Amino acid sequence: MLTVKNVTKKYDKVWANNNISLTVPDGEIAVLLGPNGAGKSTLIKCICGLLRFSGEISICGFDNKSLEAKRLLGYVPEMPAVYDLLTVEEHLEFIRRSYKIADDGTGEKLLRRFELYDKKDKLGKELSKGMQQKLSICCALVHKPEVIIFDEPMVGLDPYAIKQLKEIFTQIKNDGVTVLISTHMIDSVEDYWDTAYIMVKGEVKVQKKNGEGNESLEELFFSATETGSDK
Amino acid sequence: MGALSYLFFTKQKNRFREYLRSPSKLIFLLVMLLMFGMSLYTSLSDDPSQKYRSIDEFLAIVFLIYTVAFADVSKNGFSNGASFFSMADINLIFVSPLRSANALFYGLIQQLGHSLYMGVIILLQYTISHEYYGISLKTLAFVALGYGITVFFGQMLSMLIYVFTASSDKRVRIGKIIYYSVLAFFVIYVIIKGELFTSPSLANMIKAVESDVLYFMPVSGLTSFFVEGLVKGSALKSCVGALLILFFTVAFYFILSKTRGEYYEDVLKSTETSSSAITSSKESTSFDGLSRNIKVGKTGFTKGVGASAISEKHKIENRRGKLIFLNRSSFVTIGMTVIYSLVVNGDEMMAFVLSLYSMLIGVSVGRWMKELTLPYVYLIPEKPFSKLLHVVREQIPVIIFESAALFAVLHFVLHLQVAETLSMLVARIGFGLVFIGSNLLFIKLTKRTAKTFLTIIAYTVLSTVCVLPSALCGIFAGMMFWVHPFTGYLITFPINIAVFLLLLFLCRNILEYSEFNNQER
Repeated sequence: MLTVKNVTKKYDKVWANNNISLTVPDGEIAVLLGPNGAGKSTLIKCICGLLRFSGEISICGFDNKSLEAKRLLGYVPEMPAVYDLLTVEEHLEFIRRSYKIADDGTGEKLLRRFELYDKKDKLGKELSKGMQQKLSICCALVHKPEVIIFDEPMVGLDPYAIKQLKEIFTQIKNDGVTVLISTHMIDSVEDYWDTAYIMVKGEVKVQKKNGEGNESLEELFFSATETGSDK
Repeated sequence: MGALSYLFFTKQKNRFREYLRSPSKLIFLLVMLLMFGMSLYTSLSDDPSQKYRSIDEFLAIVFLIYTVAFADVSKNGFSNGASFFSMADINLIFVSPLRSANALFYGLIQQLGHSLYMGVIILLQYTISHEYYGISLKTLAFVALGYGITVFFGQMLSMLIYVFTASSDKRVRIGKIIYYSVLAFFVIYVIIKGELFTSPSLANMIKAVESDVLYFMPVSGLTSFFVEGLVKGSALKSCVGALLILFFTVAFYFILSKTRGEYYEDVLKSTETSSSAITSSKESTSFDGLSRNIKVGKTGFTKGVGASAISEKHKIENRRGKLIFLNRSSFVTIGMTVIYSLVVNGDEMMAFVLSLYSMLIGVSVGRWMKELTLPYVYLIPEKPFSKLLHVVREQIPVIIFESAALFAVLHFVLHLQVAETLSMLVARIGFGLVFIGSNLLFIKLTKRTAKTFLTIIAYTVLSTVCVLPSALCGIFAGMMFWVHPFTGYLITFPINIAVFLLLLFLCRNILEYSEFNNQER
């Protein structure tokens, strides 16, 4: 479970996040939507322990900056950044060592699923942007986290990889994993979201459960961002 | 093996393999080894009766180089910072269950390796150091070590400055006042102690630099103290220096890991900035490395229609980037040429050639070159030649102002006559124009810019061929009219102008198709 309570983040004079609260229970997929500059990436970086903030964030009951919480967290960044001088296989080995887990074959399964297995001995710098994104996803999943944060995960992926990723979303949801996805591609998450949070100017303007009301996610997004409707 | 040790050693192993796999890197390594071997070989045939210049003069130059390197690196803390980490470190290490103190230690070790690697540049100065100062390879290795440590400390201070000032403009202002006051104190001290205004001389400057007070100059004083101990065989000095270096490294580690335990946020932004600079450099897209606070000032275009809109855009960008007359590489060129002029004992011809060499590189990395990789330059519906002239126009004032500033300094350093200074200044401008042309020709022929080792070599050869007519005429005229040695410099100018115009003519259609652009991306 992911809990965000009254999180506020201010950069000099700009409120990037203003008193944000949200909860994503086990086995649920929450989507974070909003126009550019709404504060989505800042919130995600706060959750991942990369930024200082006021308020509370907990991952499965642990403070998000504790090592216990980090052990349970997976993060797919917006821009894939992998090590130039590590091979695909060595990236996964590094993650296993960081999380102190044994090789149970999950890494190989993920590489095969994302068509990276034949490139396991390629260096990070030899991969295309799309392949780096796939590797980034594999690195976030290999330690079987209980909470996973995806920041624009579909960008740069080919149709086959998008299909695989969507299947993974469903699969990990069924396994009871908590998922938070930040995206601009509303139609890509339309089929499997449980809760939607629409952010505007650093605040959550709309929170909606799937099945409530007749509005589609897209309609809801535009009504929130164009008219600035309240929660 | 722990995760971070695994990461560090695997990267080193793969880096070594990359060297063996890549022909250009291997050639680069072999050329460097060859150059180094030749330096060693020539030094073996020494005349034992040869008199060398004072070792104190050498140490004064070392101090100067350390100070410039340290200030150049550390001041970045007020703008973009200097991160020890890559974006991959942030995405994979910072979010993992590894202790932040361990991550910091890993970053420090990594940075120390990079800094010491930069010290290798010093080793390539062996011939000149040995020729003039009788410096042994061991001594130069100590100097290189000191340089690496200085750069390392520069990076550490830069990161500390960034961490403690990035959150507020007020802190930046206070930090800058302290930083530049300390720097100014030592500069004023050297000027007064060396009587540089009343009786300027190299001997006086060395006397001032030798003063014990300068050992307190942040970091460069300390590393100079340490290196001086090693060079002069003073065990006490070198041990005290080494202990102080160790002390400051440990102090930095504790300041950052204890007082700023959550330093991840502080390094995130500077890493993102460095990362975009590296990406831009790889992709040849425009990145000016500007400070975080840019005064926009007056907005909009008041002039510039059609192709001239390009030069108007440059003017606006240069105004906002505070690059009105000289850019960063100009200062490096001036500094390096002046130092070399001192080392080569006031040999004006040698100083002139060195100033051309640094300009050769400076022109090829100018912003105008990056402009050529952007699609809009090709899309503007104007004649390619007209667009080319407006793109090139940006570099010409840089060459003129840089040459003027350089020879204003060299006039005093080399004790030149006014006519001599002016003729060298005019000659350098002519050579600069040819280098612009040789860059264009290189792009036309190879469809790429000179970025890798092999392409830089090819570009240097091409540029040398382009300046050959004027250089030969200049040498010949200098020999013929020996009573007026500056005639040789002057005569190169009209020839270089002719070569420049010819090169422009040959490359007149370079902006018609963006083949170059596609290759680069």
